[in-house]
Amino acid sequence: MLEGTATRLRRLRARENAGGGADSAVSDLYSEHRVGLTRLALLLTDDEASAQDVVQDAFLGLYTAWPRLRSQDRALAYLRSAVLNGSRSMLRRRRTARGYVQPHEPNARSAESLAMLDAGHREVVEALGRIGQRQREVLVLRYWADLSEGEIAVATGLSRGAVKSTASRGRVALHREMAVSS
Amino acid sequence: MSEVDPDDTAERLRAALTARVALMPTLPDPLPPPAGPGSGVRSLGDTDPRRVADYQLVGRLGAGGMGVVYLARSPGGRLVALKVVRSELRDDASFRRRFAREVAAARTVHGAFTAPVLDADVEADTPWLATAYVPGPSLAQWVDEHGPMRAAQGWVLGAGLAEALTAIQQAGLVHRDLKPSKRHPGGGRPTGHRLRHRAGARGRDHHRVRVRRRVAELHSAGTGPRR
Repeated sequence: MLEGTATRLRRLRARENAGGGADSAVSDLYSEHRVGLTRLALLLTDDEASAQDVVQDAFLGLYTAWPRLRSQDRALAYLRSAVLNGSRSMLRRRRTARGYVQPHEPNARSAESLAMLDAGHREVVEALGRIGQRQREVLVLRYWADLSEGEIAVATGLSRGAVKSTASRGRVALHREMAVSS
Repeated sequence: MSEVDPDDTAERLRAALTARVALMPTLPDPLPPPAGPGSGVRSLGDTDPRRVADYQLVGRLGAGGMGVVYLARSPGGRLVALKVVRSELRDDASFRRRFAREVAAARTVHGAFTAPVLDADVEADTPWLATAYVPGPSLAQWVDEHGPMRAAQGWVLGAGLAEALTAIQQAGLVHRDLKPSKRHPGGGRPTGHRLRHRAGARGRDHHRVRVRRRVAELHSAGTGPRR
């Protein structure tokens, strides 16, 4: 009887700790990485509302997955790949909804902010919209987020070798697209 | 195929992505109250109420001749700008009529470029008005912080401002208090601008537009964006 109560108490306390840990750790991650992750999603989806949805979903997922992760490093890796996957399915849904493949369809606001970019930068950003999704993801993670090959491999689910070759093919494709448009 | 120079491509990409991100909205946080320096939200003072009707006050956005504007949260957690009339004015019958007229006028303006009226009680002991909260600095704060806008940004902003004023005019109203502190580029995004609360909006037959400072003075002259 007494032992049963003690076990129950321990279990309750453990659950409380786990819950409290998730709460504060997820809040910390949220305040630290929300903006960066949303910008990542924005670079990939080109739509502010979609980007915010993708990031909210990633954090919701993190909350449920917390007991499995239990470390800030792994949580951040989880968030990055959740944002990549979320952005990818957002783009897929957008394409399916339109019924045809449109590699790069900036919305009105994004078109406006593109108009404010210097011509040189705009050329690069537009070319980035025309290369393959994987290549775009790897290039953004590499040259904007400054992730290492290892981190990009974890986030994308590719092997290190594949990250390296995708990045290199992506640079070639980007260069080619810029040459076409100029 | 042309000569490939991966290093140059990488550097150009890095620079372009940085520039692209610099133009992105500042992404106001939907959950915790946007507070702290630069947000335009100050904390509540001892004399400020903590609740008005169903709204829980979160911070102060500003004060004017008519009352104080608070950042508040609706029961559902939505952030609103809540204008609460000064206590000295609540027994002033002519002021109450004017306030009721302003609220009625504001309700008739529809448009994506003005902050819509969400709720109001002009009959309450202390009358109040809740409009959508437009996060981010006003144009005046933005210019103080970043300096003059580039010509392209100025044109985009001017076009949006013209649309907002058209929406107000079409409702048969005159803004009467347009100034850079009332223009909200909208969370750092120079295109999502809105006009925050139209103090003293009245029928256009009564008053002429009073534009205290031309928005144009705030940015350098230039040509329109190339599109």
